[in-house]
Amino acid sequence: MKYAILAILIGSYLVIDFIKKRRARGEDVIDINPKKRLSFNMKFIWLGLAVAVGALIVFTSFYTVDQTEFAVLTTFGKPSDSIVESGLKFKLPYPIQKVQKLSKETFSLTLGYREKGDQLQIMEAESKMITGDENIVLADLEVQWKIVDPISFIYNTSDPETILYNATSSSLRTVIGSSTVDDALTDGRTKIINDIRENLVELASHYNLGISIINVNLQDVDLPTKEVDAAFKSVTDAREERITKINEANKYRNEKINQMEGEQAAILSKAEGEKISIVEKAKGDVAKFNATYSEYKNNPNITRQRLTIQTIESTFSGAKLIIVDDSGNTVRYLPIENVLQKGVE
Amino acid sequence: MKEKTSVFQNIGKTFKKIVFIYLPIILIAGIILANTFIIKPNEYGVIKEFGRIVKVIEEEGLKIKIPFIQSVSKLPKHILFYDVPATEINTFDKKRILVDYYTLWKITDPIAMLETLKTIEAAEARLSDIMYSSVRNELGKLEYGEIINPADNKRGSVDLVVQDNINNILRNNLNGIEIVDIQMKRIDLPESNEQSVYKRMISERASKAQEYLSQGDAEKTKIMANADREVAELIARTSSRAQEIIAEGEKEAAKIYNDSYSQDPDFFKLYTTLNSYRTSIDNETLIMIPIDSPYLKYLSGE
Repeated sequence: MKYAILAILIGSYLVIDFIKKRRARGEDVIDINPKKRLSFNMKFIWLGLAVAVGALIVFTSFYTVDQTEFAVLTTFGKPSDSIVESGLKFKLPYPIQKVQKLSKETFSLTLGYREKGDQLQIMEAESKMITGDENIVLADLEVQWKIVDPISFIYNTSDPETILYNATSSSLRTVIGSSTVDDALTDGRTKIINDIRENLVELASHYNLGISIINVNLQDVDLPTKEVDAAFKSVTDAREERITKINEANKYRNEKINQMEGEQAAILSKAEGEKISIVEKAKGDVAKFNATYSEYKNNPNITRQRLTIQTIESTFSGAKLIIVDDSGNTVRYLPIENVLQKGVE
Repeated sequence: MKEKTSVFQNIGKTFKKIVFIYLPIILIAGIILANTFIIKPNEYGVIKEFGRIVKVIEEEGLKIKIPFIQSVSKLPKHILFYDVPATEINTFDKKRILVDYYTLWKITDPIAMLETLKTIEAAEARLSDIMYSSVRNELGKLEYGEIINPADNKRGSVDLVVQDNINNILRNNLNGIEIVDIQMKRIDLPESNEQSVYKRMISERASKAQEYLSQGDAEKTKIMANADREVAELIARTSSRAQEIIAEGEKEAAKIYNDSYSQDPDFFKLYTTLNSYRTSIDNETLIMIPIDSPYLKYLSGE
């Protein structure tokens, strides 16, 4: 349409310019001869019309398609089956053929916030939702999508972007509604993202939106108020505290066990020592016995007497000696100490 | 004068030419242009004759209608989006929640649609009405937990039931429209309920935190008690091992003694007797010797 207006403007300009030039040359446009004048004016009208139509055809027959665009060519409203390639293109002039262009770029749809340049606008109502275990969280989501089928995109639904936005809201709430608050806040996020994506892809193909979901990002999952947030943090602290306590106990255990292992080694080595000393004592005793025995074998009587006397010498020297007869009465008292001393002397 | 006449004659001729040649051409062209129209793939063209619908064009392309008698209006053929206003419902367990649905619908029979609903806006109003009576009914059979958590699939099937209900009503009323899909895009709690949910979340977390703390204490005590028991066990095992070692020594010693002493039992008797004197007799010992003891012979020098 804008080309048509442009063509008419250019046509009018050319006619006015032509008249001006004639005037400048002194050839008055309004001739004395009315017949001439009329036919002359008619000529102008035809000329203007021809120029306008010509310009319209030229301006609306050529168009360029950028590499980053899809172009859909319609002939009397009927889209051609194939998508127009990029480059300078010719088509039949306006109203017969029209071109509609769509961007190939990846679009971003956000839920829970809007990015306006550097500014971030929070939309709490959008992000507030109920989890499967009946808690409330604030979840922000970004969906990256692009148009893959421009004809479906244009003709299948009234407003694909609005539908996608609402379907995203539905998918996000469906998935969060099936998850627990702990999953949403911590380790269930990957699964949540995959589920949302799956759900959304299914809806988009069900509605035949002509778009493809490139990526789904769960930006942030937060708790609704400071108090709730603090309560959740206290659980994290308590969990840490529990681990600290277990660590302390394990430290105690390690200390005890290590100490015990030391003690164990000491007890065993003491026992080994004792064993050796018993054995060595036995060996010593036996050696002494054997030595004495070898002498005894050589001369049993002498050795027997010597040994007896030696023993009496060394043992009886301190003892008191009483000699008794068969009836048990004391016969005489012999101060054996003195006797023995004398004997030695 | 003659000139003037010819001028007027000329003007007359030109006017005649304009009136009888150019003007009809322009008029006819104008009428044709005004009565041709383009139908896009996502449009229905509805042709009326004096207000009566005579034809529905479903095929896209360049179309023409009869001038003056026929008029054309267009209706969307593609899927339409309608954001149904949010409404509060009562769940089976008497909780109030705010549900917000959107629906996708399309016109399947433009004539019926125009006859019963007339405009898109009226159709949307109609959808909103039947949708919420159906949603209220069906969701009213579910408990709060079942509505918010679609994992057990009860709500998903409710959505399908609602969709079927609505389509049945629309079909029975010959509305010429059809629901393609309904989705719950939001569920919210009334403000006062939100506050109580927050309170519950806080108290749940507090008890969870306490549980961790108690668990920590319990596990600490358990580990320490286990450690003490392990140590006691180890000590017991070690001392019994030590006893065994000593016993081994004694066994070995006994063998050594036996091997040696068994050479001559008589000498052994003498040897040990004498040795036992050495160890058992001291200064305080009082020795009584019978008068005929062989020791006395030694003592008296006999």
